Amino acid sequence: MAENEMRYLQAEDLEITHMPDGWVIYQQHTDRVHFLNPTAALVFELCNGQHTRAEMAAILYEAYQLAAPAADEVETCISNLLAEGLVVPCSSSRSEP
Amino acid sequence: MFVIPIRTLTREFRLHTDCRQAARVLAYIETRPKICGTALEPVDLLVQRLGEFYRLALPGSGTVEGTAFHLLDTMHRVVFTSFIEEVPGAPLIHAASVRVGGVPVLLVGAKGSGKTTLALHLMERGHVVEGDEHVAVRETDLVPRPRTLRVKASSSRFAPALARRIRRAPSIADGNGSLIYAVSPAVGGKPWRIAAMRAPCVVFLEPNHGGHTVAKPVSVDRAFNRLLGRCLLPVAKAPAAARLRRVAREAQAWEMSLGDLEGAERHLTAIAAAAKSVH
Repeated sequence: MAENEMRYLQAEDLEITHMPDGWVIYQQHTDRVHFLNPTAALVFELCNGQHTRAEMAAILYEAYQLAAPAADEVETCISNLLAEGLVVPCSSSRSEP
Repeated sequence: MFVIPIRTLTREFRLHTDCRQAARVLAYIETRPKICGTALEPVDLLVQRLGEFYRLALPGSGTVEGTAFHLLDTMHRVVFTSFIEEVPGAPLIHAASVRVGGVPVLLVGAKGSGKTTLALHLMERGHVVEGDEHVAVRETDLVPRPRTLRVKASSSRFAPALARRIRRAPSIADGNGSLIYAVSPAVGGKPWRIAAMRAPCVVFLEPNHGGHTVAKPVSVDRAFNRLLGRCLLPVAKAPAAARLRRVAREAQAWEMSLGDLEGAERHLTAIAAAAKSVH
C-alpha cells in the first residue's frame, strides 16, 4: 500500500492522561513517559484507523484555521509517533468502535 | 523506659525500650517534626531484649528479631511503607525541601548533587529546611517526606556554626566506617514543620565543585523531563506523570550549577523573591 494511503492506530499498551496543555502517555513495554502537545495529541487522536496523513493535515487546517494544510507538520508528527511506537500503521480504513 | 517517636504524615510510631544500647541505635530514625493540619495516630511498638538480640512487635501483627541495627532497618521499611500509603498515587521527587523567604523551593538532584550540603548551608543561614530526601506530589499539592537530614561527617564543615550540634546527633557508620548523622532540621534554630505546599520553585542541581554557582531558568518541557528523571513513579504511572507535568507547569524552574554556597544562597533568594512577586 502506498504511504499516502496508509492509516494508523494507537498502540495498545498505553496509559493516557489528559492535561490542560497536552497528553501524558505512559508506554508500558518501554517503561517510558511521553508528552504530546495539543497539536500532536490531535494527530495522535486521529490515529484511529480512519485517516490518511493528508486527511489529518486537512483536519488540522480546519481546526486551527491555518493558512494551508499542515502536511509537513503531520509528516513529522506521524514519523515521531511511529518511531516511539505510540502508533502503528494499519492497511485499511477501520470503523470506529 | 526510652521512647523514640517516629512521625509520618498521619502516624506517630513510638518505639518503647528499656535498653539504653538499643535506644541509642534506634534514635537514628527518630523523627519529630510538627505535622501541620493533622492529628497523628499513635502506634506503640515494644522493643524487648532477648539476650544479645531484640524483638520488635510490628504494627498490626508479627514480630522481627535481631540486632538493634536489624530492627533499625525494619523500622526504616515500616516508616517508608507508611508514608507511601499516606500519599496514594503520588510520585516521589528526589529533592530537598526548603523555604527561602517563606517561598517553598525544591532542590532536585541525584545523590551527590549537593542537596544536603546546600540545605545545611541554608539552615545555618537561618532559612527553613523541611527535608532532604523525597517530596510527594499529591493530587493538589506537594508535601515533604518527614525524615531527618542524613549528613556525612565530612559535610559538617559546610555549616561550621552547626558542626557541634550535628556531631551530637544520632549516627551510624556507613560501609566504609564513616559516620552518618541523622540531623533534625530544628538544629538550625527554626521549628521543624512539615506543611503542604503549592507551586514551589524547582531548582535542579548539578555539582560544580570548586566553581561559582550559576543558575538559569528552564522551560516547562525541560523541567518536566528532568522531574521524570528524578522521581519514583507509583504503579499507576500516567496519572502520576501528569502530576509531575502539573508541577512543571506551575513552578518556576531553574537549573543550578552548584559551586560556592554563598552564591547559591544569593541565587535562591533572588529566585524566591521573583516567585513571590509573581504570586
